[in-house]
Amino acid sequence: MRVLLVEDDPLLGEGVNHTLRREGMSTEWLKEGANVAATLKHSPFDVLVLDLGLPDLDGLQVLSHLRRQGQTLPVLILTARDDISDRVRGLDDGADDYLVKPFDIAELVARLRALVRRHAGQASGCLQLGPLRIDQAGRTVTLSGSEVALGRREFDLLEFLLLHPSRVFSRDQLVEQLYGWDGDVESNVIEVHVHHLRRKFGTGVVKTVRGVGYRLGELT
Amino acid sequence: MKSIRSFLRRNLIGGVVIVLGTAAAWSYFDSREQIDELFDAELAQNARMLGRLYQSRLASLTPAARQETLQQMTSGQFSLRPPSLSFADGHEKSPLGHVYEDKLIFQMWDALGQPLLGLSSRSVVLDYLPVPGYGRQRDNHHDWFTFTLYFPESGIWVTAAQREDVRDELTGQIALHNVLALVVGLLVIALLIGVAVSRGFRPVLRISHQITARQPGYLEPLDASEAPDEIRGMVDALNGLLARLADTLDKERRFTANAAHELRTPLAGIKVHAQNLEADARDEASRRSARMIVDGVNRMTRVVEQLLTLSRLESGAEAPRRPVDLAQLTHELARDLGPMARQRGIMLHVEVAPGAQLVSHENGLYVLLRNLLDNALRYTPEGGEVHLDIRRDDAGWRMEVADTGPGIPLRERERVFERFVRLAGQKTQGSGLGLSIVRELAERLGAELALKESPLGTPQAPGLLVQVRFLS
Repeated sequence: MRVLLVEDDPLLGEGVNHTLRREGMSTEWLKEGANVAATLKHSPFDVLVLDLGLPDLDGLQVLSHLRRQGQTLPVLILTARDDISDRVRGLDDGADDYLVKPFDIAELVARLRALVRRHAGQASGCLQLGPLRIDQAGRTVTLSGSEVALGRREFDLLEFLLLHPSRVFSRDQLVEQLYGWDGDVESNVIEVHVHHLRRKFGTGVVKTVRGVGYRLGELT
Repeated sequence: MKSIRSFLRRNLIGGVVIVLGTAAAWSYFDSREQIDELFDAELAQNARMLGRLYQSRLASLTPAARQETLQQMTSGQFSLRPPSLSFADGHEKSPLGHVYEDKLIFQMWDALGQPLLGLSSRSVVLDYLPVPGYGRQRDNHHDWFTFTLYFPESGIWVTAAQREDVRDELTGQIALHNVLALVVGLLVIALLIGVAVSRGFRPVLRISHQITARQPGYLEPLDASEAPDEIRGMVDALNGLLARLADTLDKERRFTANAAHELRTPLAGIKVHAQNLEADARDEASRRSARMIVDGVNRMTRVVEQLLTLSRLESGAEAPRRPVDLAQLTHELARDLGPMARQRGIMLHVEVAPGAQLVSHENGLYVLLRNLLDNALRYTPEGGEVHLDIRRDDAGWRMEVADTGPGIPLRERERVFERFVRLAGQKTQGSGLGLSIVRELAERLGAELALKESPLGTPQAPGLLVQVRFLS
């Protein structure tokens, strides 16, 4: 799952960035609010973590600007304002959730996963595809109840496809999702991961869309 | 002077009454006097004219005819009686005469006092009183003004008389008619003064109302557009004061908001890094150190929060009161404190009466309840329970936080509200500010605060119930 982090404070930003990557998310970290809209337009993200106290723009302005543009991705705001009306205003302005600084990283991660899951239409605590279940917090995958060992990128790829069940992604888009823009990877890395997933769950799990890329398939 | 309006009304109307009243009285008595004199002159004129008419008539007669006429007169043949006239209702005149005719009479006598010609009223005949000049007579019922004249050439006495009550009535009526205009004028002026004073003070009252109807935190300038010149300066000065006050409070509010941001962001950074360290560390000693850093950050966060709350409370920089949705508020509380309860293995139970709404300072209420819950969660041992119950009874809203902690002994209950007071033998970390903030907030919100026995308590864990009552 891919997270756009907007945080001007280097201390906090670096810490959160590290946390999210350790939890297997791929992240982009922006230090200014001005680039958010352009970045979101350029490539897809699953969730936005937005600090309200940005130096150039107020976080709430960034948020309402995004919502006016029709941007629907889930947004979690980080706020240092302890006034309850400020926080609720964030929700009114289109945020999906908020955390008051300082926060527990476990809570941050859990809330981000829940937001992305809800956005993908999965209400329960884990992602499902037929007999296949992904526990995002534990980063484990079970097939008909028995655990299947997956490499880190394989897990990320499977999770990403499950979060966007009906969309088709090009090879480059998937590379960007898994490794970020600066990912210096072998050109056939996605084919390798797809091959591994098919071997473990059956060929139907990922569908090849000729000339375009891949999308989530079905398990029987 | 309690009210300038009543002062002005009283004094202006009083002054006008005195001046116009004096004028009216003076005019009344003066008119009467003038009319009296006119009537007196008329009486004299009548008597003189009658005497002269009689004299010239007798003088033109032969001695024999004169003798005969005199005899006729003394026999009363020339005595006139007023005709019996009838008048339409409310009219004093008819083509034949006037109601007052028999109230104006005269009588002549010869030198021996034998009545000659006379016009008498139905009830009275004038007495023969040979004293010339003005005088008065009384019959059975009435006083009469008289004027008597003696004609030495013909040796006759003439008395003309006018009934006193009639003259009084006439003079009184004439004088009253003069005064009436003044009295009507007086009433109109009083009314005009009342209206003018009321209207003149209306803008002042409006401004006064604007001020009294204000909520404590509402510092918008007064509407000076209607203020009359006399109080424009005062309104401007007041607006200046309000603006400075608003500015100060705004700065204070910004300061606490900025301070909150400036302190919370680095604290958040440290906490995230410490928790990353804990997650990444390979050995137990490093993990333990990392956990200690997190604990330290948590304590510091709490103190920062409480100090900022106190500073905000003391500056009075509170948002104005408005209806607070208690269900929403409780939802936020449960969301904020749920992780702490889970972490400490405490069951947090929240109950709010449906549709609960209270007009109050939202943030103050939130911080108050948050402090109470935070305290309860902090002091209740693992496996315990903390209940928040919000309900309404006849007296008003009642919010209760009950726990299964160690409780507070009766004799300590007043002391715990003081700042930085922590009870002896406590293992739990705390700044000792929580309850003093709660008390200050309760005062500010107009709520009553009481410490009671917890309904959840057991002999081992007596627990505590903190009750906040909003009396309506």
